[in-house]
Amino acid sequence: MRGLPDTLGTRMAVGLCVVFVLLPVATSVAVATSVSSARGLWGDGVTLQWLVTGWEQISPTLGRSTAVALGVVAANLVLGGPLAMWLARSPSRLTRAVSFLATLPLAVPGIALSIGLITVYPQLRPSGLLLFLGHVLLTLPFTLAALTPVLADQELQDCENAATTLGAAGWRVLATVTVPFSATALVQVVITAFALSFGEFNISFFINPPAAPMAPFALFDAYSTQRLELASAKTVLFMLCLVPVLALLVAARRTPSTRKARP
Amino acid sequence: MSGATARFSSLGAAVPGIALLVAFGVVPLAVLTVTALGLGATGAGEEPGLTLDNLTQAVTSPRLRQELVASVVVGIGSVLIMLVAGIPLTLAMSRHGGQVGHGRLTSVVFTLPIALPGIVVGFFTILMLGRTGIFGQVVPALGGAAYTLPGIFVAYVYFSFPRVIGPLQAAMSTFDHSLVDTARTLGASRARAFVSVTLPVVLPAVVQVLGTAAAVTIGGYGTIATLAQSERLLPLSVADRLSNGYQVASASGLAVVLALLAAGTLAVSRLLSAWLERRLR
Repeated sequence: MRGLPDTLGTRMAVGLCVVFVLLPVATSVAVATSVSSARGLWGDGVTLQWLVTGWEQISPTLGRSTAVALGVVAANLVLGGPLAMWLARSPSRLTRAVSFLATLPLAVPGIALSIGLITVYPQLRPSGLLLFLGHVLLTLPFTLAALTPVLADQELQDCENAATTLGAAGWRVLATVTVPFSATALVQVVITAFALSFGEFNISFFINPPAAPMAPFALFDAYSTQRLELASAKTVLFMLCLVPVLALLVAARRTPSTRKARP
Repeated sequence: MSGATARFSSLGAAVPGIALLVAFGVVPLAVLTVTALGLGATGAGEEPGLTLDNLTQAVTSPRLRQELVASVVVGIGSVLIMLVAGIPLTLAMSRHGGQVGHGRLTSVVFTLPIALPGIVVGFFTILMLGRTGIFGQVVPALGGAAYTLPGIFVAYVYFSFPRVIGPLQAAMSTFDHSLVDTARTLGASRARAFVSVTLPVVLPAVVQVLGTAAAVTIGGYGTIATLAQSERLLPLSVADRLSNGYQVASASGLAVVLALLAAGTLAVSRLLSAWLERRLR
């Protein structure tokens, strides 16, 4: 094909999209370090004071959100792993019905689900258990979508059968065949569940125990009541917490997949 | 599937996961519907008893009807805008692959915003188009645009960006570009090649991406909660009903309408996509 103009056009379009995505991120950093952003970015000078104040105010909620997100990841692996295994390997009318159920949290808006949740389980709300379970419910469909096709793979099942025939115990087959084979999908599960739970706002807004706000809730509070610089500082700190997750994402993409080459 | 062995697969081990889906997914939705029909909990000033008013208010009340229409227009419209930009972009990216910049880094940048909650996207819009936003400081007319319908549109386009580009990239990665090259060699114009060769192949996937992304944008609360000053979308009224004297039946009714809109968009797109797949193959 006539490569050059096309490539140039594509490169410019990709560049524009990168700017579209990153400009607000860069702006929030600039506003967070401006003394007074209303007088232009860094108009009255550069300061780290907003970031320091922001950190003092938001760090407890960041810690809480991280803890909840890690718990949600664990619950996804513990509950979602066996469920995906069953969905992948015992196809029946029942698995189809459960697969359909698993799409509900994707299709139904979080605010609708949360009104149902607080109506049915008000007693689970103060402890934060309802919030946690709501997050697990919301992330589980993504876990199933990532794991089920991999676990259904015939090649994986052949390998497992070979290992078993050769005398390996069940746990050993799981640990040395199944888990390594599905490593890419498992990493994807960890990243997705963590990021979704950490940034979840719709359910958290309604179910949040008022005494223990989650990070997105604290951000929302800052957006409605605080000055732009402090709100930006908190946003920057929030995004920094996602950097390890994104680094993991980049690393996972860099690792050449053992089997199927990435397109 | 060989079927001889279903190693490690056991219904017993799957039960906790299924129980969670039922107890915290199906049951709350059923109760939500019952509440919406007036047969469950009621709040301040709400009469118990079977009624459709909680649902139909979304159409009968002029204010709510306006919010409903705006929700659908913004939700589907923003995804459509993303598709118009995203289809040629992802097609070109899949064709030129390695030649276009650092593919891996670009793809991380394009997926990054999916981890940001809607409220952060709303706040980004305030930083750009708010009263003291950076565009407003250069072009005064743009100051405060974040709170107008066009500004809200921009916010929702940003919100749907990763939700459209990601799946599109995956769908386009397997596209066979030699088909288009063949059509072009045989004399088809660019537009003709796109309409009669490319579009039929990618359309089922595109329709599915549209439905999945629009379901999320229609149901999302965070972005509009941050930008709500003059313009309103339906999720705001769901929340308001709950915070104003806990009118739970009315809030449930609007939540059911919102859920039907989002789930309906998703379901219609899946059906349409499957139909197109059969028609076009």
